[in-house]
Amino acid sequence: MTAPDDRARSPAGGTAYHLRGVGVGLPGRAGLRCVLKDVDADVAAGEIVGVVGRSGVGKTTLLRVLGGLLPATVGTVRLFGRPVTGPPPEAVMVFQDYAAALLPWRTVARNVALGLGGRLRAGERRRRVTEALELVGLADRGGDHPAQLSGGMAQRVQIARALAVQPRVLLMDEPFGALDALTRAALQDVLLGIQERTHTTIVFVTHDLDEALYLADRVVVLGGEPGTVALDLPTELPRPRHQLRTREAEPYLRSRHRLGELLVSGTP
Amino acid sequence: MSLVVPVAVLVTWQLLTSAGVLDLEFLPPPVEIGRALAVEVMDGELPVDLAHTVAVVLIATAVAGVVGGGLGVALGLVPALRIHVAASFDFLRTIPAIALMPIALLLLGPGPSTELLLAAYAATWPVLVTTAGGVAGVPDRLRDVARTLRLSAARTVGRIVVPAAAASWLAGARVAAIVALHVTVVAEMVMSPAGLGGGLVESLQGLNPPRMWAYVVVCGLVGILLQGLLRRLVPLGLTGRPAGAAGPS
Repeated sequence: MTAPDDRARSPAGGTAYHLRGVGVGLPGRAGLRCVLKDVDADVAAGEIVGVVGRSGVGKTTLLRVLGGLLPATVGTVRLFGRPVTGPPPEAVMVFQDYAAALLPWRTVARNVALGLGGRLRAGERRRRVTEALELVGLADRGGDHPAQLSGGMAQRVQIARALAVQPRVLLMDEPFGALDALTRAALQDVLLGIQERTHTTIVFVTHDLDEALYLADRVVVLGGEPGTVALDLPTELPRPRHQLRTREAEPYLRSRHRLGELLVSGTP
Repeated sequence: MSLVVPVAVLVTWQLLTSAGVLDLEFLPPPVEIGRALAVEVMDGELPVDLAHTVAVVLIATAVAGVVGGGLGVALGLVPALRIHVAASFDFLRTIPAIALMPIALLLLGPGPSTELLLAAYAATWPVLVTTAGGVAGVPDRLRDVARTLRLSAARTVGRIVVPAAAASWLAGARVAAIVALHVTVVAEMVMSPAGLGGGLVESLQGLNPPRMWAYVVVCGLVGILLQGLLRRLVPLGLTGRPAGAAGPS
């Protein structure tokens, strides 16, 4: 289905993720239930990849495998050439449920500092926190507690927390799924702005086809039961993206049609 | 408004006893108890007894907080430990600490340290159980967060597990203080002529009902004050939590 090894077109170059024959079984009522099967995929460094598919197809499971939070039952998962056996140092995950993923007893700044362990000196830690909060546009909210923030702000704090550790790869599980349409559009642009500056590789899961197309260089559709890669579609849209013009561009509409056809009718 | 019932009871009690309707030999009218209380506070042993009991209760609660909290965290963190130790703990926990008093008395002799040991022992259980529950109940999502940020085991416990279980720990400590008070008073009654319990027994043996009642009133006041103090502490452990997100209590 995919042979995108030659598709590396990022400034950094090289392959970030390399997946071959990945299958995942999760313990269910009748032994192992196969959730993913024969997943082959590659993600180039600096690329933005959106993963879509019907609910229950294994999108989140795939992302957890990429993040080293869940071991693949069979197959190879490599990140920058090294096998993924646990959470890799290069990748950080951002979760959908920002309210549950932030520590309510810590201020925003101290939440962002959570991943900056004893390895850094206090001054460097403070600088990283300030920088990350500036990237997501929350420089003045460092002293607040998560309960004082709106949903959009809370999710930006989670993104800042991930950015503070300066990951090469950002994994996002339906990052904007719980937000209203306007907030979501604003955060999509915040994310694209950050990626433009940091060249971070991003793999995100979404149930929103438009979000996948708008953000990604490539959309991977998971389908079937157990889930596997049903389609790997380069979006071929120019950057920077524009909330109105991009969504009205001809390639966008063509890809949108293709994805819609696949996910609604189930036949590629 | 909550004072209406107690005041009514006191007034009725006073009227019934002073009018001679209720004529029990050892039931003094409230006014007499009040007078005895004043006398005891002014020149009796009550302040000393009170200080003794309060000191034992506070130290026992502190010990229970540390020991119960530590064991609770360990038990909550290590499922294997939980499986192996839970049965023995449940057995020990169901033996009333008061039933162990004769044993403690024989082994260690009467004295404040025996009193303290028994009170701390009894008070440790509620802290242990609630803390272990709080730790085991730390949301999976927070564990994911710790893993994806590659926090060390020590940092995960220190920065996520312990703060997340703090509310449960405090709820346990609140119960522990009251348990410690109960056990301390009983221990004092049984073994040492000190503290509020000692004062109660002295009054009983000296056939001095007003003094006895005065001590009972003070015991009640200590309980109320302890509860009030700890209730005030609980919100401190919940700083910044959204309403209704408090841990299990």
